[in-house]
Amino acid sequence: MILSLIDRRISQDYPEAMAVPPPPCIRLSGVTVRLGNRTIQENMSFSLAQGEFVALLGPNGAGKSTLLKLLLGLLRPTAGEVSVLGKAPRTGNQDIGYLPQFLNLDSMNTLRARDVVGFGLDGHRWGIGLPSRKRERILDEVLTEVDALEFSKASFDELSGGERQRLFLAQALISNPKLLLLDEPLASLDIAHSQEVIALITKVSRARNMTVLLVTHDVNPLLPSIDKVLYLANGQSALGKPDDVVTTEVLSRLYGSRVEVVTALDRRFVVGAET
Amino acid sequence: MTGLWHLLGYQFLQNALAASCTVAVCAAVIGYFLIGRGLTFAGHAFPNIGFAGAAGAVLAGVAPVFGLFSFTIGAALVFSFLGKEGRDRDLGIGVTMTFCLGLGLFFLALYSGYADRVYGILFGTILGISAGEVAVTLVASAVTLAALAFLFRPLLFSTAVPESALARGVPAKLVAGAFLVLTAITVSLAVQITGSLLVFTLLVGPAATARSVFRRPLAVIALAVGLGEVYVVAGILAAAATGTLPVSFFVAAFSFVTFILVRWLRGGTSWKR
Repeated sequence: MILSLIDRRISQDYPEAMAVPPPPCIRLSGVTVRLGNRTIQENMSFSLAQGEFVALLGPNGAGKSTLLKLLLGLLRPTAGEVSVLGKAPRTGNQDIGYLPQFLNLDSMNTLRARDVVGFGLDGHRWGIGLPSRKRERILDEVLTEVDALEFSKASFDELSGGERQRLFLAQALISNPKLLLLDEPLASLDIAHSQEVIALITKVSRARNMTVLLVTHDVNPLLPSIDKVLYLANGQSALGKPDDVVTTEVLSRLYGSRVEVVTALDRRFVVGAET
Repeated sequence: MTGLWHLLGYQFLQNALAASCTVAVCAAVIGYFLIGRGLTFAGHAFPNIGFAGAAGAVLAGVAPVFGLFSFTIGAALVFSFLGKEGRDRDLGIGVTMTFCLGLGLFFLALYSGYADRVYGILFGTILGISAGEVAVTLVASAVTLAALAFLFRPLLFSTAVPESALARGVPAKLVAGAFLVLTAITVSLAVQITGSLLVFTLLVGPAATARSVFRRPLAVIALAVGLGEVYVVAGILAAAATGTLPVSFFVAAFSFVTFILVRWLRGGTSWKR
C-alpha cells in the first residue's frame, strides 16, 4: 500500500523515473572470462528481465556452460561484474535452480525418482535427514507440477530420458527459484519428448514468473516459447528476439566469417558455422 | 552344535566376533559409496598400500598398525588431489598402489628377521586379536560411522549429481577427501580380519549384492550391513569349527556365492547398464 503510494508520488513528480524498468534478473557488464590462456568471452554485457525465457545458443566451446557457472558462482570472471537478482553470484543460492549437463548415471541407477528430486531440497544439508510428512508433501507437490508423481517411486534406471529430465526439473524447482539455469535439457531427447519438456518448462516458468536460461543446440523447437536468444560465438555475444539474432548478418558478425541462416518450413538452419 | 557353543566360550573367539561385527558395519557403508562414486579400485588399492606401511613399520621396529594407518590415510590425501575424472584418477591410484607394493617388498627385503607380523597383515589375524585391539576397533569404528552419518546427504548428492551439489554449495572436494580418509581408516581396521588380500570382500561384496536388491539408499545400506554381519559371523564360526581353514576364505566364499545367487534370482536384468 505504502509502496504503491510512493510509486504514485514518483510517477506524478518524475514521470521519466517510472520509465525505468524493474531491476534485471541477470546483469553482466564488461565480463571477460579466460581459462588458462584461452579467452572464452571478451567484454560481454547484457541483462535479462525477470520472467524472460531465453535460449542460450552457440557452438561447442563458445562458453555456454561457462556462463552458467558464472551465474552459479562456481567461476569468477577475469574482469567485469556479474549480478544475479541484484547480488554477486554465490554458490548455495536457493533462488537459482540448476539442471546440469552431466550426471553420474552409475550411481543414479540405484536411486528412486523421488530421492533424486529430494537432493534439491536438502541434499546439501549435513546428517542423514529424518523422514517427515512435510518433506514428502513438498516432494509430492513439485512432482505433481512436473507430472512425475506416478513414477516417483520407480527406480531411476527404469525411466525414459524425458521422465528423467522432468525429475531434474523438479529437483531444480523444489527450492522455489526465481532463476532457472538449464544446461542442455533437450540433448538426449527425441523431438516428441523435447516438445513435452519444452511445454512443461514454458508452463512452469510462466506460472512462477521465473527467468529461464536454457542451453541448446537447436533453437527450432523452442521458437514458439522463448522471448529471446542469447547467442555466443567466437568470444562475442548477441542478445535479442530470435528474428533479430538468428540472422545471416548477426551470426556472420559473431563468427567473424560468412555464415548463412536458411529458413525452411519455419525452421532456421545455420549453415557455414561448422568449422 | 554343542561344539560351537563350546568354542564360543573362548576369549579369542569372542574378540574376533566383536571386532569383525564392528568393522563389517563400517565396511558395508563405505562400500555403498565406493561403488556409487566409481571408487572400487581405490578400495582395492588401499589395503595394498597399507601392506607397504605395515612392512615399513616392522622395519622401523614399531607396531605394523601405525604404518598401516599412516600409509592408507596418506594415500587418501593423495587420491583426493587426483581429481574426479574416472580414468585419470584410476591411473593415479594404480601407479601409487604399484609403487607402494614395490616399497613393501623393498622394506621386507631390508628386514632380516622373520616378518610374520607382515604376513598377518596380508592374510588377516582375526583369531589372534587382543581385547585392547577390540577396544581400539570399537572406538575407531564409532568415530567413522558418526562421520559418515554427518556427511551422508552431501556425499550422496555430490555422488549422484556432482554439478548440482557444487551449485547448491556442497564443499564437494572436502566431502570427497573426508570420505577417502574414512575409507582408509575402515580398510586399516578391516585388514586385521580378512588381511590385505581380501579386504575387498568385506568392502564391496555386501554393498554390491544389496544394490541389486533395494533402491532406497538407507535400505541398501541396511541390507549391506546385515549381509556383512552374516558373512563375518558365519566365516569365523566356520573357520573355528574346521579348526584349520582361514576365516577370510569363508568370508570371501560366502560373499561370492551370495552375490552370484542374488544376481541369478533377480533374473539377470540387473546386469544391464
